[in-house]
Amino acid sequence: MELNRREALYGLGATLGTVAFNSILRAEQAKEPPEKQPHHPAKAKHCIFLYMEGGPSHIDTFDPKPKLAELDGGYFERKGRLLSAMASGKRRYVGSPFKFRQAGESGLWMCNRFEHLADVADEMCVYRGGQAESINHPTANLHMNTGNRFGGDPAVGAWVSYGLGTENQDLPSFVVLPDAYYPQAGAANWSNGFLPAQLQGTPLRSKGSPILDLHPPQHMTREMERKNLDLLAELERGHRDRHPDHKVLAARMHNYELAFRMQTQVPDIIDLDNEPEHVRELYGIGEPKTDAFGRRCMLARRLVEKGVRFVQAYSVGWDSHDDLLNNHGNLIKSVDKPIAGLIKDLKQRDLLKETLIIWCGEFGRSPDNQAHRGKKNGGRDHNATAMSMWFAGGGVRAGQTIGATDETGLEAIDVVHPIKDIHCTILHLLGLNDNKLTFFHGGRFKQLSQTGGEVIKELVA
Amino acid sequence: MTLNRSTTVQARSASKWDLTVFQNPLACRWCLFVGLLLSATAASSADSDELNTRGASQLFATKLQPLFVQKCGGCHGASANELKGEFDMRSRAALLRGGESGEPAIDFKNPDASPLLLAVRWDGLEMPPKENDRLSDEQIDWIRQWIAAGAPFSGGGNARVADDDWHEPDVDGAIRVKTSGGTTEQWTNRRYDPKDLWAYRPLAKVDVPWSALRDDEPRHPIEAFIRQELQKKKLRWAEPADPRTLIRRATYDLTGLPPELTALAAGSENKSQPATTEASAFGSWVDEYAALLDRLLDSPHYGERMAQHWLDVVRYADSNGFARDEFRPSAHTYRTYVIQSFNEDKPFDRFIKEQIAGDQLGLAGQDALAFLWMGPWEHTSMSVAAVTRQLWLDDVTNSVGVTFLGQQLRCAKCHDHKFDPIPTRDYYSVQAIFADTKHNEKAGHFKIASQKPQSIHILPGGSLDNPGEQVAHGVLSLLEHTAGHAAADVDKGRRAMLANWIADRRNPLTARVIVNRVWQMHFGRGIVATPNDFGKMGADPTHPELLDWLAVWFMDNGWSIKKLHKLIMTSPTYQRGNQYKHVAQASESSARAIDPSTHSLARRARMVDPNNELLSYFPSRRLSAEEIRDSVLAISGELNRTIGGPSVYVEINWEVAFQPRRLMGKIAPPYQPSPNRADRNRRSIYAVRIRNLGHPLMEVLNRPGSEMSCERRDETTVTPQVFTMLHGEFVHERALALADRIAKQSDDADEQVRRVFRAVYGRSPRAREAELAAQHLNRLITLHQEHEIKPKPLPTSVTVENIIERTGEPEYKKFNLKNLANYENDLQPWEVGPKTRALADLCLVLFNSSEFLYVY
Repeated sequence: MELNRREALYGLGATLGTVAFNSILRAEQAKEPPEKQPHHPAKAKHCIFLYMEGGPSHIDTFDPKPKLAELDGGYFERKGRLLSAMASGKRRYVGSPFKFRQAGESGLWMCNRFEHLADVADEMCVYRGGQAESINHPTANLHMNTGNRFGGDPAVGAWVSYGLGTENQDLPSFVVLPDAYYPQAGAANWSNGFLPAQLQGTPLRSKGSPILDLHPPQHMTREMERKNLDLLAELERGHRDRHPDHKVLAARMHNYELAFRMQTQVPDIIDLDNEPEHVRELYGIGEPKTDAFGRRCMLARRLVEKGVRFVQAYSVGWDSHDDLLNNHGNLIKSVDKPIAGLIKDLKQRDLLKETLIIWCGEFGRSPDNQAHRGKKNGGRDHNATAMSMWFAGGGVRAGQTIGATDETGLEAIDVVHPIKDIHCTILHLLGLNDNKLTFFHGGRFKQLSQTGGEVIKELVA
Repeated sequence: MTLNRSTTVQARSASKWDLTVFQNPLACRWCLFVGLLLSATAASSADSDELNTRGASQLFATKLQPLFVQKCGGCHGASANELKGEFDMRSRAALLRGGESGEPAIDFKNPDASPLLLAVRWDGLEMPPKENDRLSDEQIDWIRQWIAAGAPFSGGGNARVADDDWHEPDVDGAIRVKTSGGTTEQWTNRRYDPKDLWAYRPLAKVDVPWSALRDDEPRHPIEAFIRQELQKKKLRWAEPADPRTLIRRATYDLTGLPPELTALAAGSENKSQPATTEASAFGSWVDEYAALLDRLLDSPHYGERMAQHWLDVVRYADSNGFARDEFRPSAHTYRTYVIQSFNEDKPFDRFIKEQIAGDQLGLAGQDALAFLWMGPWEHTSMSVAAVTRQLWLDDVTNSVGVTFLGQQLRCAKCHDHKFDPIPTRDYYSVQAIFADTKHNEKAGHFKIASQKPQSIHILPGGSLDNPGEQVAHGVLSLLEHTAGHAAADVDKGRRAMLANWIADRRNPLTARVIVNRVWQMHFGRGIVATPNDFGKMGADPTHPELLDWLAVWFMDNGWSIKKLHKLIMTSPTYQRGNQYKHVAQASESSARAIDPSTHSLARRARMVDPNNELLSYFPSRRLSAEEIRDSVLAISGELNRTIGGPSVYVEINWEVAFQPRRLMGKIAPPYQPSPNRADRNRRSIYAVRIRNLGHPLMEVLNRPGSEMSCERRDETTVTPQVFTMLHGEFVHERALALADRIAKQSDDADEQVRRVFRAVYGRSPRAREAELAAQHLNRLITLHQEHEIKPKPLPTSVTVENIIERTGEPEYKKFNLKNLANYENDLQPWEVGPKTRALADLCLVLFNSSEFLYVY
């Protein structure tokens, strides 16, 4: 394979995550540093994206609606020309099963099930003005993660890695920490799309081999593998002499050596057992309800420390159509302490100021629900016109609540922005300009926002 | 200079009937004038920098006014009450007045300090604000010169950019295209650079440039076209590849499988190189090579290889995708139909008609029509019926455009096409073709049928919420003149009309598009590097005359794809060596080329044509994902060569197979490979494609997803490929099977090494390689003897974690793995001794080597 001009122009500029391809090209061609300059100075250099898959309810987390307590159980009429089967039938208003309180000096509203997050309320900036477009999980997930509801485009993490490069040539620049099962729409949620393959999110699996086939099968030892690689290197040397113009051969051999090294490095990073007990406790590791997500949060911190640019950690199951009290109650419990622990830990390591934390799902939930045998049913349907998300860390206007929804939480009414503006804002906080972070593909310069968007200035410090 | 080029193209285009050319009698004169003027400035020499007022007016009319409309008009010229920064660019007076700062945008005393100029230079203000829209240095220089010459608006008066009066006859060779009309007059009257419209022109009748070839060379038309361009750039070309290399290249290109050892042995006997100029020396090789091509084209595996390309373009999958990812039990009949069509060498025009309107034209049944529902689609209780219908209409409209016409019609879904002469009205006219088509799904089975046509409306912004004007069905209006005859079949149905129009000789896109796809299969890059996009934003053809000549030849030869392969593969172009060094060798060994610069020819090729667009040598490629998997199976002797039929559940990484996969409202059952070994060992094209379930080996080796049409595969080199190829169970099992087979044939280590090399590389080891391999075996045998291994039984059930929707609590669900209970397992390492395991390591190393993984 010869590098064609487009790859040379647009591909190589992005440093290459897992792959030492770039370092070889750097050695052979330009003297480009692996870390690239942002478009503008920014505090955040890394991002930890906490993704609550299923659509967490804004009404029951960060956007209290006292009015719904009054309307609770009353009939609700849905308007609009295009209705799905989900929007049909008798519908009743649903009040939140949770109590709310103001936390921190800033008095940020949150549901009182968030016991630990309240400690770090002053680090958070809650945004209530976001609007999605799709009310189906797979398309909404893809929209939030890639900007394109139908998939095929690069994920936010791939764009950020493309723009900022990597700090660690031996690790992927974009790592995904999935939950028990993949979110709807699957691995397309962390696709590199048309960006170089090295920018694809690498899932570190919580069970089994952290990276597929990281280790040789059990009938082989590391020594055998070393011998195999030595023979391969010899054969390749002869082959390269016969094909001196075939540039990719050098990069290939480098990859084999890198793969050999990663076998010891990756298990080292994911091994949380050597962390001090009080730090593990901070994340809720060892407690049954919080252990799983606590591990993901701690791993996210360790990866960021090692120079990984973008980590996305999933919590799945927030699709609470029936029973908010139990569903959201349990899920809030499972993420509350881990997330608070993450923020506290980053802060005590002085890393919070250079790490952007995002918490969101693919859409919000409705103030009403389809009645069950005519009676109120304590869950909520999907709602693309209102949602809550929050940001913390580098460059974020902490201790603020921005935007608002109407009195029932049906629709955002203040500082209302579509997902593409949220994407522009995330890029901005990381020092990137959506209009400049482009890649030529399919006949045009493509960008995360698809067609351009604006930064939500209210969220930026 | 582009302007001069435009002039010549315009002169040619004036005689064509396809494009409406607004030509001013004065145009050529003016054009020459402006051309000269700009040529002078392009040299950016200080002495010829100044424009007179007249020149500046022309510059404004031809270049700046359209530029202002395009780049600035949206914010500073749309209407008086929507001006950003209160800055109006629609008149000279307004420019002099300036924006909210009150400062004039133009400074005549010091033109370089004009705020307008500073803004477009991104010095202070950054205009236009999007990086993509930034003006080129050349464009900025036009503005500078224009200001220096007094910034005349056209005619010296106050013509308004947004007004109609700039629709004057074109003076720069730009042309307007007659279409059904855009949503604005500006769009309708938009002018195009003729070089962006090449694909819509009728196919040119081109003569083969025989003079590019010497009299003593084989007269091959393709070589003549290629050589003409090489000679223009004063480039040499590589010597022919040796027969073995060529046999391997041709065999992979046409079947996707490794060559038979007997074919390679025959090639090795032909030590003489095929294209030395003494015809007698290679006469027999030429015949043998032609016979090889015939054999390969007759092979039933040819259709599988071709179908793989086609399925990439049409996005074949066995499931719906989206939330439920419902299985499509009848999708495979389309795959078999495609394989058979290529094997039969079905005329391509008929292939088109069968897939678009086989029912209406009485040519084919539902198998072929499955093309119309290949994309991802689903309708669930969460979906709005009108939205899912629209999802299908949009999908099929774009798919037809991309697949057969090389047109990204989707770009015209929300607005008039930004770059190509395709108004949004045309998008919906093509969509209305499908308004009388019913697309029914029942449990994953689809059926294409007729229905009373629904009315189709333009959807501004692509939104169903605000349907606009209703449109009639039709074809792309800029090519409407080629559609007249298609109306004859209108009573058969709308799709019949569309199919007839696409598959007609007069349609300038169809043959060009398919010929280009076939070219890309052989050279890795099409004559047009973007086979799915022949519009302005696609790549320009590197050899436009060759493309047209091939397209005409193809249609003259009965739209036969097989004949086209043979034409291409018998060309010296296809048979060249793959190295720059071969370029140098060609000149060094040639008496005619003794020339002091001979040794620098390779470097010259690299400088002048770094991407080898002119094909001075043959571009090597990595085997595709399917070729790698199929080849490993073929070499190990395990490949099941059955053709066609339903999809099979091949092996996939066990961890991925058992990983919980969430579908709407449930956890998908684990993936279970077929218990029947022969089924698992089918060619990769038959492996079931579940849209939401990846196949890690395939994906890491760049098999594309099945959401978007893939015009050309990527060929990346990434570390996870190492894990898959060096550690993955699949490659290990094949290596062990090969080692076991060879160990049973001979227990002599040297003979085993020879056999492994012959099996994987098709040649014997070199002395040094044999020595290294023998030493390796010795060491590895010792290591394996010291390493004790235990049998690893297959699981009988798998327990997956699910999060209960109602409670958010985890639950554990156990699935019994029925297929694994009577699983016909592959040979496992604990079933053989250390010697065979060591031999398997040698096989594994060779499977990971470049000589196996690349085609030269």
